[in-house]
Amino acid sequence: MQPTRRFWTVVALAFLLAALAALFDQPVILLGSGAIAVLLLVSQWTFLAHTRALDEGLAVDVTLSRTYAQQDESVQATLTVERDWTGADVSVTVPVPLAASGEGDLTVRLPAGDDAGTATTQVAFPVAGVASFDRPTVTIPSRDGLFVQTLQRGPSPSVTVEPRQPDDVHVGEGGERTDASFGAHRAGRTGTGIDPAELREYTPGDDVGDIDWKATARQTDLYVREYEVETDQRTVLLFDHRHALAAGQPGERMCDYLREVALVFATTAQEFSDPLGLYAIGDHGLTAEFSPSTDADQYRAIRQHLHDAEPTTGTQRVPSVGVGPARAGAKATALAGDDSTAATTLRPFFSAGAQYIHRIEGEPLFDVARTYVSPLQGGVQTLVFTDDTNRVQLRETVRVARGGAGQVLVFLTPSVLFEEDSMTDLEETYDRYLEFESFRRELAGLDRVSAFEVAPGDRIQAVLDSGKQGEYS
Amino acid sequence: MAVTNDDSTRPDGTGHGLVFAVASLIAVGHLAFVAVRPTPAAVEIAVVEGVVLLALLAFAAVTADRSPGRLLAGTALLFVGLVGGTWLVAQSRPLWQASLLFVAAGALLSYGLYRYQLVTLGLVEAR
Repeated sequence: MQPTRRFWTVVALAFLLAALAALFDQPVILLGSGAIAVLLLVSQWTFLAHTRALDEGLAVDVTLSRTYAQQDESVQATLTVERDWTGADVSVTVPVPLAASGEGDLTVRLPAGDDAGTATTQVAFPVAGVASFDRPTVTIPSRDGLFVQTLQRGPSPSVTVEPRQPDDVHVGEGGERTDASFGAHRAGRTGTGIDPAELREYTPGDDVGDIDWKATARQTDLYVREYEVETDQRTVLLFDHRHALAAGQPGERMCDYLREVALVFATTAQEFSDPLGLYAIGDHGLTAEFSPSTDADQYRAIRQHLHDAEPTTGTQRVPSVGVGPARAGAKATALAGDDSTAATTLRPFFSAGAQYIHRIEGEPLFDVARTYVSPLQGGVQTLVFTDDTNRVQLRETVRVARGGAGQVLVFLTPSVLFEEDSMTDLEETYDRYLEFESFRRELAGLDRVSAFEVAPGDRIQAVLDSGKQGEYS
Repeated sequence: MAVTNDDSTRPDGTGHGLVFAVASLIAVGHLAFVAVRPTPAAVEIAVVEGVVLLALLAFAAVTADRSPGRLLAGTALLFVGLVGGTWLVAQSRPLWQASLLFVAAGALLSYGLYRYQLVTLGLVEAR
């Protein structure tokens, strides 16, 4: 119960009378002051009764059109107020959450006599997370204007706001989706484990406990059950989030698609308790460095970093027209006996293979692979997440990451599918996609290397359909 | 207690001006009575206060919606207790002491109602 200025005005009048009574020594005036005090107390008692009556029969509800939303999506919020006792005014307000934007607070004002009211508003959530509405505030003014009571009544609903993310992630080869369950791994050899692999005849030296008695009972000889050996697969994520990966619509950029795939691997690695590492590459170098580890905090930190990784800013990358050292050497050899002007001009570029390698070392992706991934001993599975903009650099990066015994999985976003006008000229897009596919196959043709495309499913399907139509016509 | 003067919470009820009218009537009436009769007889005082009591009862009757009988009885009892008590104290003590006693009694009653409302509305949090 909050007294208003009017209340204090009447109180001041009572005090004035009391002061005058003392001043003039007139007890009768003090009686007037006492009568005003009674008036205030009666008013207070009446307001108390009204507030209780209203509160007992008051129903306040806040409903949301949905409790899950994507960033910047609007949610309709509805405030409903019903009451049994209608003898006084009441207003109910639900403020828009701080992390949201809306047309205004939800407010229902019920004058005396009205028993129900509804208000709706659209609320948008620009920030991902959980946005909670405050409980509705019920404001009850007294009919004589001396008091105001505020109460918190009704629910406090919340909306889980998820960041915009691609919902149709295609991972595959040549337009065909890959159904492999990424991350699961086998050692490729048998021994002790959990999953049965095969039966073989008992040989001296085998553990008696390995004998499969059921199989032995069906055969004439002793048989031993072998199991698939499970290993800890060291996995390193090489996540490229340079500015070129910003291509695409908000929430559907190249880096968003790659992030989804990388997160799947991170989750799977945690499920299998595989050592997991992350090297994130921005335009100016490394933005995250996690050596492979099974530490629970590291899994969490890697996932968090992947969630937070946004394209960095840097100088504009242009599609490289260069070639790798191997092909450069071959070109130089081919040009050796050519005395034409073109050959004379080009020969120094191709013959400077060592300098070319030095030049590519300045590229962050390659540099990180060479500095951090290549020195890792043993069979490391390196997952490279990048686009196809700089193919020469990527080719060399994969070769370096593969190392002596490692395996490399490359996840590539075809940049052609993320350009703004890629869907306007489908034939040209298809031709460029074929170039991409050729490059992907080239990578996949390397020993211990697999390459996959990561793209919007609907776009890649549209481009492939266009290509097929072109071939038939 | 916070003071509010928010326009959105101002009521439009008829009791809004009534409380000011009754308070002003009481104040002006007592001042006028003292001006006319500086040394009134006990009967005269009783008559005037009886009129004031009627005015307060009328106010209570107008504003009450639930249990008007209880409110009217409570009003009469409160008036007799507070005004009568003040008068009795003023007969035996200096007037300033009676004034202080009256203010303390009024404040205590008002605060008691305030605390009672907090409890009935469930606004008192357990520590």
